[in-house]
Amino acid sequence: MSTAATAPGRRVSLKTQNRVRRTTTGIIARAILIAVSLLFLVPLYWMVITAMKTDEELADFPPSLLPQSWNWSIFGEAVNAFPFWLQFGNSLLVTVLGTVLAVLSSYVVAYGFACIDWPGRDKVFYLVLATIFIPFPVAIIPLFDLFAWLGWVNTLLPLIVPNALGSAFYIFLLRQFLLQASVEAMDAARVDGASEWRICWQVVFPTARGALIAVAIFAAVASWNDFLGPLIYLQDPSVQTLAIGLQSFSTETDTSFNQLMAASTLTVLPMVVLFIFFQRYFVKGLNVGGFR
Amino acid sequence: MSRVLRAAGLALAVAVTAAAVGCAPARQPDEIVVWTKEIGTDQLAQQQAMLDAFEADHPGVTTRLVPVATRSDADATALITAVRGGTGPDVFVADRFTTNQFASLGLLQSLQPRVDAEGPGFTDGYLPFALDEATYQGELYGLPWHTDTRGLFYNKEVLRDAGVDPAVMDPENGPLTIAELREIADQITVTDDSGNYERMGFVPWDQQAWPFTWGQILGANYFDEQTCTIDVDDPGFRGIYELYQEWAADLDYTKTDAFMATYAPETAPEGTSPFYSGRIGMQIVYSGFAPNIEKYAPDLDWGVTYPPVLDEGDDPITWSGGPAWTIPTGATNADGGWELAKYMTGEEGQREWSSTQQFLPTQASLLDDPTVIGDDAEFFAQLLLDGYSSSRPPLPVGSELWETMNTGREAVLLGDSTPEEVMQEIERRIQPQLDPYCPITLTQRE
Amino acid sequence: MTTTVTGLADPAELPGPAGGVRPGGRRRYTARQRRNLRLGLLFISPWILGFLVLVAYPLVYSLGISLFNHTGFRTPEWVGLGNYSRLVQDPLVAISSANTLFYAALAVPIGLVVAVVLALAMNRKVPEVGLYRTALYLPSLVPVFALSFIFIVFVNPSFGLLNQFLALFGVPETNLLGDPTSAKLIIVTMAQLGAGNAALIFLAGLNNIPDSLYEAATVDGAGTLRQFFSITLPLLSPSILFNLVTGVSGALQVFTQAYIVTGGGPNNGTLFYMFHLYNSAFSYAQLGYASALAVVLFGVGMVLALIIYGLSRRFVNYDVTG
Repeated sequence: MSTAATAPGRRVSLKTQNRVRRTTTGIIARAILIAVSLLFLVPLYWMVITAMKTDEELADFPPSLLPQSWNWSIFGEAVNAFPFWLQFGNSLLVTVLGTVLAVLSSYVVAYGFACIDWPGRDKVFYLVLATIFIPFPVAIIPLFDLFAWLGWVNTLLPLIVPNALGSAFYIFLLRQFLLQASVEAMDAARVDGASEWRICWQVVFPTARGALIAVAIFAAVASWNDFLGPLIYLQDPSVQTLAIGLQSFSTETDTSFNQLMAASTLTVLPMVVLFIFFQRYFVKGLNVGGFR
Repeated sequence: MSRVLRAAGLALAVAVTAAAVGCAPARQPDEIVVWTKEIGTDQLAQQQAMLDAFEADHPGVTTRLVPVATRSDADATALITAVRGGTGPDVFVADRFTTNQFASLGLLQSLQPRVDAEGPGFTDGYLPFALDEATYQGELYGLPWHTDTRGLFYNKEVLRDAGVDPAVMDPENGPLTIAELREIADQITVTDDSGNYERMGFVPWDQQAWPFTWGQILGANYFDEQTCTIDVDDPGFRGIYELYQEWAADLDYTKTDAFMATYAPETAPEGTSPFYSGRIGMQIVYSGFAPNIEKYAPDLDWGVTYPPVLDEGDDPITWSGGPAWTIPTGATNADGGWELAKYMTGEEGQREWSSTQQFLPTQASLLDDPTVIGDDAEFFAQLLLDGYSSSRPPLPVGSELWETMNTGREAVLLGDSTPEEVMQEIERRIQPQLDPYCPITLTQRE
Repeated sequence: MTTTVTGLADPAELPGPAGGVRPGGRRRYTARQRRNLRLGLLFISPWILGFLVLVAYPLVYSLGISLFNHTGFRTPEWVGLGNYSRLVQDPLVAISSANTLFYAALAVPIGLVVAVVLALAMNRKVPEVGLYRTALYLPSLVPVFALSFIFIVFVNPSFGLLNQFLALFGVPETNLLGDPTSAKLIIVTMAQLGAGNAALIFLAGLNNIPDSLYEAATVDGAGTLRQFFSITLPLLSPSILFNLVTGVSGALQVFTQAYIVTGGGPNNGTLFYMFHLYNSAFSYAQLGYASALAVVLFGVGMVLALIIYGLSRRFVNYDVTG
């Protein structure tokens, strides 16, 4: 590195200069950070505020920035206005099962791409990468016909089962992580006569926790937020997920905005809680596994 | 096997079983599954009550009412996907206007064999226009349920405030001409200091003032049966957009749109209306608006008359919609569905339905029955009896034509297209979709 | 000293367990290789099945039924390339393609810039960085359908906040969803709230740039801007490539927001390609025609991805000497 040879005198003055520059940029940076953070939170703030306004206050113009009184009962009203808990349960079922299947299957496939050295492996992996970019909707009609043929329409199966076939993006993330798994530990286990399957789950799996959690959060958010799938597959309100429940609720004539926003708030909440709990794994898992 | 592995296996097993068991609602043999697009709270309760009564009359039969909320009338996603998936209902309470579209796709069963089996005169009680609307290629695909019709509502206080004698609006004096309506509207309209509208007399794209409404008024013809083409050269058809273009320029579309978005948002809560609050003086609205006014603004001094006409002395003209009871392809219990549809749309069923709801019956005998037709509805029932009302053209592409016409309105209002361009757009969009169904025979019962 | 910064384009370069494919075509595999081949295929079998069922079959099936007039309820009728010639003439295809291109041309580049800015913000070495990360990422967790409802309220002239805010700058009260262009811009804006996901990928990329590079640059007297353009950006290029391609692919599929917020209006101003495809397939049951639309979308998506990859060979930086 050529820079090591700089004169000592110059370095001192540079340091002082840098300190001054750092404090000013620090203040400006913080101001920008706070402003941008607030900007990103404004729509969410407006959701909660609108939810808590009474019907009368909603009709006021211009709208108030804070509700005159906090109308907590709105959440009860919203939940009773449509089969909220039933559909919440459906969303939860799809999300939990879909996430478990997506994580496990993607992990197994990623292991196959990272930890077993087989001829042609990297060429096949190119194909995996290519499929990340295929616009999914291309498949909606054929898949609908397939699932209709299987008799799965109006059930949650079309939203859950495809997760068991791995997802290219998660496979990619996990593979990147697994490439750094300890080859020694694996080889030692192989020498001991452990099967590859056993190594996969007992030796490598426990070390991949951070990346697995990151992928799990991605998968959970994707399942919880899916709209087009439920829109096509679920017709009966008793099997619909919140995505469609909220949409139907909003098209009913006697739906008020505060109720809609209250129901939206309750829909958003589980994802927020999930994120806050697992935040540290999230960024870390990506860091270690992701784009090195 | 490791614990992780066992846990994974367990999770998988739970996944598949839970998902399989937890969803598809099981069917009983004598169950009649009813999908309805009449999803208001009161309407659902009343439909359920009538289904319960039907069950009581038919021991062993059970019914299940499923509300189906859709984005628009023409959006058939739920029915299309369910029928394809083999999980469709036995009866679908559809918008009557869409029966042609659904029937032409093969989504519905023809009811004609069942009608014929019932013997002659079975359909005589229904209003002819409603039967026509549910008829495709000469065969009936739906039993008409209720209907509505459109009138021009006016707020008498607003008229007086603007110095207009509400008596000029009285239906006794026959319909207003469009020119008269505009003159009164201009008198009502109030602008604030910065030029924004504070009150408007009449907005020609508000509420039920659809392109089709104006088309009726202008005597438009949409479809040429001889050539099986969309009649885009018809002067009345084109006239809709010329009227919109000129009127929107007169009112200043952007200003009017801001006024509408502020005081009459599409998403306004139930029970509020710019008409109640006196922001808009006159509106073309469907008949169910009358009981709503009584409910939400009982003190309002209002009246209703015919929609405007083109020339002095023209007969009143308006149009009506409403649902029909249809039986989808592949229904597991089509016979049960038919019995239920007969019961619900028959004279007794409609009597009970219409007297509890703000709708008009399509059973002609009920239209002059004061126990069914309240004071609010008398004017509208008379419109139907006098034959002043018809339906939208029942075509396989009817709802797409309807939507394309409405989009054309937006294009003209926004100044993005000329009426000429809209007509070309309608032809380019609709004709190729119509072609596979040609020739088309429209039925017109007397 | 060579640091390998790997991205997508070249997995063969990734450091992995010894081996890989040697050039030179066919050769006999050793027993161990054969065993590994069996094992490897076994492990990736879920993906193979997924590829067959979720990718290969849909493509073949779509191509097939795009040649028929097919409602799904009657016997399909052979029309050859009829659906494709109708597609060319369909005014809604032209409109929806233009809308989608408009959306992609704005949302993708803006999205990349916003995501880089967010990533830099999330990467600040300040004690409260966790708060910023949470605030900036939260909107990405909000389901698009819920965000759509929020935006309906947010931009409504009577009870929304946006008009109030714009009024401060003298913008007259307007219905922003009432004009085709502003409605599209609203949807572009909505998309930026979801930039958190792309930002996370940039963040991971940033964390992998060795600090020594910046130290060296500082000693050399390079300013913050200079460092950003000559170190940060080039070393982020693999992440940029990834986000660019997924961004374009996502933009081609934009649907939910328009479905809920504007229903495709006004004047088809937010009728995106995917929305038109959905309408054709599920509102009007024209499965053959919709499949033709899908095949074209697939083709366009693949061509765009290839173009981006082609260009990226010039700009994406995988190795850096520091």
